[in-house]
Amino acid sequence: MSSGHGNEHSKHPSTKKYVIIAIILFVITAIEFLIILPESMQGSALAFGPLVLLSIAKFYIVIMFYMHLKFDNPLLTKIFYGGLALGTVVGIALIGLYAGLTGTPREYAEARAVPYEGYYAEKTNDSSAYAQSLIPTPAPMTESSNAADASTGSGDAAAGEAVFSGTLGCVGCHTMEDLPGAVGVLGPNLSQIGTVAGTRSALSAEEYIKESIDAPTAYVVEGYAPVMPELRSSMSDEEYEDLVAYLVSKK
Amino acid sequence: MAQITEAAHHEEEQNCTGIDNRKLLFWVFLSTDCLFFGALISTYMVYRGQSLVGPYPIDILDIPLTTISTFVLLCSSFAMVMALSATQKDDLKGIRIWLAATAVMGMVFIGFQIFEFWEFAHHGLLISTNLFGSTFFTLTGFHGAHVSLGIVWLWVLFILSFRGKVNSARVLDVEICGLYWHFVDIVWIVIFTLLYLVGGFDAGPVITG
Ligand code: HEC
Repeated sequence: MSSGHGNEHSKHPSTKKYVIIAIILFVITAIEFLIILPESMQGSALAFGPLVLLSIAKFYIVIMFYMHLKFDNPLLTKIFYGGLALGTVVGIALIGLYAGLTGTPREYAEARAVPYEGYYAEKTNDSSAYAQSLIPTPAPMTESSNAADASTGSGDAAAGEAVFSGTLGCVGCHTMEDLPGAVGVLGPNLSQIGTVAGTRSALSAEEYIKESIDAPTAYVVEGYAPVMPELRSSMSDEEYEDLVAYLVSKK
Repeated sequence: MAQITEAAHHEEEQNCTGIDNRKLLFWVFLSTDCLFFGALISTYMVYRGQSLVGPYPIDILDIPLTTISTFVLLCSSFAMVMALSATQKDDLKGIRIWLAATAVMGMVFIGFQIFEFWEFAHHGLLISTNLFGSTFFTLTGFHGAHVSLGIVWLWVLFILSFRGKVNSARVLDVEICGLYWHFVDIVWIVIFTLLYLVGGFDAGPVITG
């Protein structure tokens, strides 16, 4: 590009070269835009490579000529590349950590998520319940205990409404017509769940509602994504009974 | 006092590397700023496509409009190098024109961004709406903050030029401002590619039975 001699200023590119560089940057951006213009290329993996390469080219041209690393002390280039490399490696590591190991990030998280046992105990300041939750006990809601509980029906529907609209976040995904604020649309409308539940599977209404909470993916309602989280472990047994009683009462 | 003035006239304050102290420091800063934006960009990429509620990128991103604002920012980088070369030539009129042009184009870019954020808010996307909103606004917001700081810096230089403080003896003042401005431009090159061109067509989870 330049002779490399003379004083510092003459080492910078001339105006004409700056104009040419600007045009090149423009053209590259225009090409990038054209690449994603056809609908088939939008969001396609095919476009990813060229787009990344073109932007690396732009990046390189700007730092080399506009930021004149090409003409400056090589130490500056090393300093900058150092930070750039570190930033890139951290990014790749982070993405790899979430996405690279098994499947999509979501699958990875779902497969590994551990319920936060301490939450309820902390909230009620009940340290013995918290201590107990740390001792592995047989899962409270296995198939058989489920059936046994079904007959108890000991819950308090009024208290269940509070659970439903509380911090568990049911209302963010479900609509309940007589409950202000319960307007979520990600999951089915639960205004008549006490009736609907009995028709979903061979289970009784109460059993079905319990199953929906214990194992949300056991039966996925048609037209909905299997995104309902497992929230059974985030509530106490009492809250659970109240919640079920509340939902059963919604006929 | 006399000593300070003396030092101010001494444009090149070098160390054993032969590079002016301020310039060296500034490149170290830019290097660390790469880590800053690297972290924000990675966060966006990690949470990409994981929002459970809309709006999703495909619903609201306006790619043609953002391409225009990208062009504006690229243009401003060109104006910035012209301001630097005018400073080297002690072309006072050129210095003022190009500094103002750079700052104005930066302001146009920010105008586009404010419009974009406004539109998004009207379509129901706030920073707390979903993962897309949180990571998008954090990243582009910090970039916008960088651009805004650069605009202030440019106007300060513009005003100083009327006091005769921008000239070839102080070329480093303009050069460092330029380094900052171009850096903000290259960060946008990365954001534009990853958030708009590559990730701009991301939709929500497929709702199936
Ligand atoms: C992230 C959103 C989300 C949250 C939070 C959520 N659900 Fe759901 N829920 C869904 C979706 C989606 C479905 C439908 C798919 C399925 O059956 O798994 C569903 C289904 C159900 C069903 C079965 C409905 C039917 O018509 O068969 C019940 C009952 C239910 N949820 C109760 C709850 C309760 C109680 C809570 C709070 C503890 C809750 N959900 C929290 C998304 C959610």
